[in-house]
Amino acid sequence: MEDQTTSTMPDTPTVTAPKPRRTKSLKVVLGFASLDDAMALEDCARTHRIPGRIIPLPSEIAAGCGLAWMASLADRETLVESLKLYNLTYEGIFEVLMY
Amino acid sequence: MIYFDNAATTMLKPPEVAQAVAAAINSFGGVGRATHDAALGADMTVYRARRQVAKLFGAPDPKRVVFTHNVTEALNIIITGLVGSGDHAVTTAASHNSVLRPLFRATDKLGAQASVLAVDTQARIDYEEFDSLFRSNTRLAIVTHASNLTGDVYDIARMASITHAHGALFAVDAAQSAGVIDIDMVRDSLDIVAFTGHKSLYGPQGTGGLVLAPHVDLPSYNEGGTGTHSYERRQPEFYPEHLEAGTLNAHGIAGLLEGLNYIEKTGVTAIHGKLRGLVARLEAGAGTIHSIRIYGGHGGIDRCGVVALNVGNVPSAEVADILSNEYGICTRAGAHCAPLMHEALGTSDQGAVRMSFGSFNTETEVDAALEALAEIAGRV
Repeated sequence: MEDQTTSTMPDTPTVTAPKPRRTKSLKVVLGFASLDDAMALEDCARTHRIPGRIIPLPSEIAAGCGLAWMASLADRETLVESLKLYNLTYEGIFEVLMY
Repeated sequence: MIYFDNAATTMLKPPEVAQAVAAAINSFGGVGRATHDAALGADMTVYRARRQVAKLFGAPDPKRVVFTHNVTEALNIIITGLVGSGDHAVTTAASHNSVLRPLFRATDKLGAQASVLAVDTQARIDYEEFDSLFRSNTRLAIVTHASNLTGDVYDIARMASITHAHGALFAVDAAQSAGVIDIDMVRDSLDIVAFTGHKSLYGPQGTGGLVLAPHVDLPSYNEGGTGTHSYERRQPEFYPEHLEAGTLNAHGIAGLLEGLNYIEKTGVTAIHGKLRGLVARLEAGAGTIHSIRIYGGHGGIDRCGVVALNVGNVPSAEVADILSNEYGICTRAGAHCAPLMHEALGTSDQGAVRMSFGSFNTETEVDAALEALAEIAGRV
């Protein structure tokens, strides 16, 4: 019996332009002692639009695991002012080359 | 079913509690273990729950709200941390076994000393006698705020003042009072409060904790993963991680947060007023039924939503079984893990039938229980 399966031509490969290579740039990174401190900043940032976001703790700051806060270098002043304004606790402030 | 066993676990809870637990189970990653959305969702819920607990108890520092699996674990952390060899501790006979057994373990295994303030045959305590129990080596007084048997509420601010005059720390077992009685750690000068989530905070089982005043430190209890400072050999010294090792029950804490939100919205005073009303209605009605004895509530003492009673000399287990099987009324019989209180009340053998109310119970349900009690009393 003849095979009823419809033969199709192979999909034409989609040609996409290669994504540009990632480059590192200097970022402002806050370290925290306690997870609660990181969440206090996250909670405050959601309300008051503090620049930055939670990231895994970079190894340049400390080995191991934990949470950190990363913002662009251009936002450093705004970030520091917000930390003072909202009485937010952090363990240290660093500038780290990051993707 | 009429559910009057809320002092064990509140069964009727705000619907948001179960909804939050279900949502959490299907969306939460590990607390404090990553930065993806699933983990941050769990982190933020725990963070908010800490603040709600701190607000409920008037605690100055939310980071000193430590989550445990229940109040028993919290009380063990407190007693194990503060009562060692050569130390003396004070408690009252109204205490639950979750206080008594860790204390007696410390006396039996470590050479610590403990004094237990007696309660009289009407479950009352003498505050001057409490004062007399302190010694030069007393390190801790740890007392129940509200008896889980009689519902009597004791004056913790007064006992805290006495305790501090002797230079000791004052810890409160708020298992029955949290969410029912107004507690303010600053106003009442409380050093430590232990609470559970599944009773009058309307959270799930497996939630609870302790709250430390800023000047109080405890040694770590469990040691393990915290998600931070992984290369340090020992548990971090900062709170809450110092007393929280391993993954928290964030699914349960999500439900607890909704229970706390319900209490905030409803108001502790309003809840207390409602429960006192149900207690008064039950006790007034039961008082007219011959052979029923009610324990506690003497001398105008404040109450949480708990009533203990017996029908003649009928074993409490039989009365509770009849109430359950024939009337669909859920109560708790027996000793309620409060052996010294039963000894004082003379109910060690008979036990007592405990009817305990939650915010969702009604006067109609109380009236149904009174009818059932009257029928039982007339037939035994």
